[in-house]
Amino acid sequence: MTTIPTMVDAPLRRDWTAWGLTASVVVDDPTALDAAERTVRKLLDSVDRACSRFRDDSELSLLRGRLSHGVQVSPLLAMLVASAIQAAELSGGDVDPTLGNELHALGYDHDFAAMATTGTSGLAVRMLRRPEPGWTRVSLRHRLLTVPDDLTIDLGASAKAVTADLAVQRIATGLGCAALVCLGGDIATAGEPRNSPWRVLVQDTPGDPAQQVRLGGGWAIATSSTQKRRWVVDGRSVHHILDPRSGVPAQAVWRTTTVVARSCLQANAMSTAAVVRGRQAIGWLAGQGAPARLVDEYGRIFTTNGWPRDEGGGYRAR
Amino acid sequence: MNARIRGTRVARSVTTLIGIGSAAVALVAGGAFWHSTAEASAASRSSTHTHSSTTSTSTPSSNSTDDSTDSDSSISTGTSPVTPGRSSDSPQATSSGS
Repeated sequence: MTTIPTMVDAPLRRDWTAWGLTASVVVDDPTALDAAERTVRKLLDSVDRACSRFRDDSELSLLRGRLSHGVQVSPLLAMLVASAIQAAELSGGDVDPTLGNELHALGYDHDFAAMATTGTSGLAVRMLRRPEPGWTRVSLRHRLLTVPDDLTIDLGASAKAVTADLAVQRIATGLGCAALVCLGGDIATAGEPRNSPWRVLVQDTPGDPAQQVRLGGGWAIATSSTQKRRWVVDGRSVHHILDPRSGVPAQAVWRTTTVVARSCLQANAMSTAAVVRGRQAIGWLAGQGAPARLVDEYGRIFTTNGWPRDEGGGYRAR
Repeated sequence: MNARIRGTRVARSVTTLIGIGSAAVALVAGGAFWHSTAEASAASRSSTHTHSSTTSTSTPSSNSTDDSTDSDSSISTGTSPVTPGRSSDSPQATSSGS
């Protein structure tokens, strides 16, 4: 019997590299693919120009040294900062957008793809203790942004997640098709191809346990990892997810944390916070009501809030 | 000047951005942000249970214990946005750390 590929099995996906990661867009309408790719590329560029700390000509970089007095910022930058503060609030401060200085001190001061991961000398992993969380000292009133001089904004993960959310909404509303946007493994969706959930493989590195799941349209999924974006500082391997309370990389209790939520921003905030919270993450995630899957340092899998068991073993929603 | 931003204040700030240039559509996602936790909670009927899955193909390298429960009483009814897939399916995307 001949198998007729479904529409979404046709080449309706584009992949490319941006921000040192893989960007992908999938649509269920072949005539919309080119425009969908343009939409994502344009938005990636806009967000990069607004908030990248790796380029001197970004809006955020150009405002360096002036933010303590309060500056009117662009609508896009204001939205990105507001979203980052939302992520900080949701995570109880575990995801703090004011760790730019700490990341810089660890040597993460330019695009990771261009970083030397074999070793960095002259830097030291130093713990700090802030008198109060940095994000609570940031003020955003409409578009008036004020950041104390001793803090540097790093919108990193939240900007990526917001970009996925925004891109998929633009595609869905502008092109009228179901869409999935994936930025470095953070995925936002809008609609479902032929009313069938999206097929998503959850896996960090090739050696990590993998699971295929189906994700309802309008939902998002994000994975945080302590196995990627690692580099060596003074002989010590570090990763990029910092504990805001210490300013150093969080203890790698989890290799990978994956969370499903209504927006990619929320999923990303919770998956990142789970890394920071270590063993307390499971109880916290359960309380948040978000389906989650965590892989610990031994490769064991923990799930909560309706995350399905692997093939055939979990429950199936209506 | 450096007043702490509470969620409600941020929400108002975001609301004011509606209709301003290219950021407008992002607010659709932003608007769902706070709502979604409650929605997901409502969808989950057993949010306080966790279980240790047996699906891992990795062998623990030690016998260290974990403080999480090992219960099979996790969700068996209700709805969830994430459901099992078939490994024979070709994935449309991969969620991995970055």
